[in-house]
Amino acid sequence: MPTEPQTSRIEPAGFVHDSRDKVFRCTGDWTLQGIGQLERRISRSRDFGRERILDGSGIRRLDTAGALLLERLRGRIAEGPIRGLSDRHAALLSMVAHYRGEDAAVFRRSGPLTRLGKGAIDGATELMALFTFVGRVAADSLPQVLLPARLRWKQVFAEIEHAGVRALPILGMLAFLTGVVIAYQGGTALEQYGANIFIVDLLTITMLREMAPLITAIIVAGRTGSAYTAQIGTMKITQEIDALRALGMSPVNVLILPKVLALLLVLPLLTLFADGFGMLGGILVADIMFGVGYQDFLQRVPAAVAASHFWVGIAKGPVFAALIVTVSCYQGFAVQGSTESVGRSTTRSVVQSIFLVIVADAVFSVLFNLANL
Amino acid sequence: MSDEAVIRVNRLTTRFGDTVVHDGLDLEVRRGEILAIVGGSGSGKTVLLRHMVLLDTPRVGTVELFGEDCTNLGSGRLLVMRERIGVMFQHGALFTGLTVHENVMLPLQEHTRLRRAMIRELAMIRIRMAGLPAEAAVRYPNELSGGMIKRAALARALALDPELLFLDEPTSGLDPVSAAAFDDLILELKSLLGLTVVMITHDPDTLWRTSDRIAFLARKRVLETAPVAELVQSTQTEIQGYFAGPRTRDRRQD
Repeated sequence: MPTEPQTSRIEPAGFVHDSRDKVFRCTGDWTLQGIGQLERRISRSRDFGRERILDGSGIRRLDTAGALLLERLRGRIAEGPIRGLSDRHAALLSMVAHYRGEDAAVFRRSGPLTRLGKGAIDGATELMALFTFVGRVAADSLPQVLLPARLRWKQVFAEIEHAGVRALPILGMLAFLTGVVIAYQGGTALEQYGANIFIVDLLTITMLREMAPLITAIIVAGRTGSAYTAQIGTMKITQEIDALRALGMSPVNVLILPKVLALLLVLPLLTLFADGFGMLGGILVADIMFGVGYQDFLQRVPAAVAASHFWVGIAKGPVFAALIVTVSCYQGFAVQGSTESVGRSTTRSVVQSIFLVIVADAVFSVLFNLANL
Repeated sequence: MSDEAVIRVNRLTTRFGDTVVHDGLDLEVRRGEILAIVGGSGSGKTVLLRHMVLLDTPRVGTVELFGEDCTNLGSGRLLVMRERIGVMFQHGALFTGLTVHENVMLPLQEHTRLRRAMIRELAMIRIRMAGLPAEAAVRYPNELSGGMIKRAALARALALDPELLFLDEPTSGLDPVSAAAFDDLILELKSLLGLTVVMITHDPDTLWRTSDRIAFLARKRVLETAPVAELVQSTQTEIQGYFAGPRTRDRRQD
């Protein structure tokens, strides 16, 4: 076995130029820790002249990193083999030379046009995959929905508890604060015209029609949608999804359908809950700060505001639910291979869900406007 | 092989709650040898390995690497030690967000001040040394087969030119042909790089082909350390039991 000096002190690698017999004498530790400075020096020097001889007899320690540097140096300044290497060092050097290769081809990156084209195709493929996914889920779940007795009700109720009941505190809190803010900001402006009582119209329409459904959908997308993606994504990585299929259970029926049913039911109910707490916040502010008593407030609501505002808000719920559950389950199934992919998919799931919810809300505004609702 | 000890474990005692895993365990690894650690499930092989690669600190007893007590190393010395040892984890533990090439480059970028071009080439040499084709360098771990993951993990373990290489079940999950090729690779690298190798293995072929000595773990300590040919003659009942099984019988008779 080779015996190398065992001191852990490092003697930096270097080489001495002997101009008389045109020899470079290498010295010191040509190891990963020893070659740092020399490597910079060599890479900076442009010209070493020609017809030099490398002498390796002064090398104290050599490892593969040092051997690679020696090989590179030899390629640049020497023509013949390196003189005076010990057998072991020579063997190491020839091994490194053997394992060197042309790697440029492996790392060649494609041009901007190729990448643009690839990106376009990837985008189109993902859109197609999303549609395929929706179609497959629909086809798989239809027979199940038609036979309610065979649904996994236990799971549906569990999902309702997770997505609905446990979201109540945070949703109530946020809706309440939103109501407070809307009433306060709107009330300040109305007060200047002495139109305090219109705070009722302002708050009721904004809250019931827009804010409550939106806040609810955003919270559900962040809380529940992300959890769906992470759960399905992790199950995919650990091959649990494959195991389900191999055991003759459809992942759609076991994983997706209960979530779809639960969210479709839960989101309108949560919206109702947010309506209540949002109004509560607004009524408190109107009573305390703008002199509109809660009795006046409540009496004016049915008189001033059409019931359609309320129903429009509730009707958005199932649509938002469908968007959220589709995106989050799709992203979960789109996870591939690595743990990092779960994180990426989860982020994407939340961002896309919220994006789609707001787009859908805008579309609703236009449609309901056309329908005079 | 010199008799100089690269690793010396003295009176190591570890326990998890009420379970005593090691009770005064002693082990010595000599420079330039391949030492295999064997023992039944739950005999504390992996825990022992974790102590030797300085991931766990002994509560009782000491672990010496390269003649230096590593029980209470400061972070600076610890880093120097870590640069001298390479670890290949059982399931590879490759960073899934990085390509094979980036996985191997990572320790080099972190601990050396070489220029990028040099690091790239060094990493490629490691990858080829570990028996991977150059094309595998740009792949991500989830695009690799089991055997390739093992090789990539080996390439990363070799990144910093370690003197000491630890392998946790290097051939588990490989088909017999790949496993044999991996054994050859370890032998080749050991002789070329002058490595000292410590491995945990259950693979009888690996034991017979590669190991210089085997440390047999049982009864909470190293029962016996000997070359495999001597170990099969042992009078200890645990060792006899281990080598009497149909899978671990004396391979020289085949």
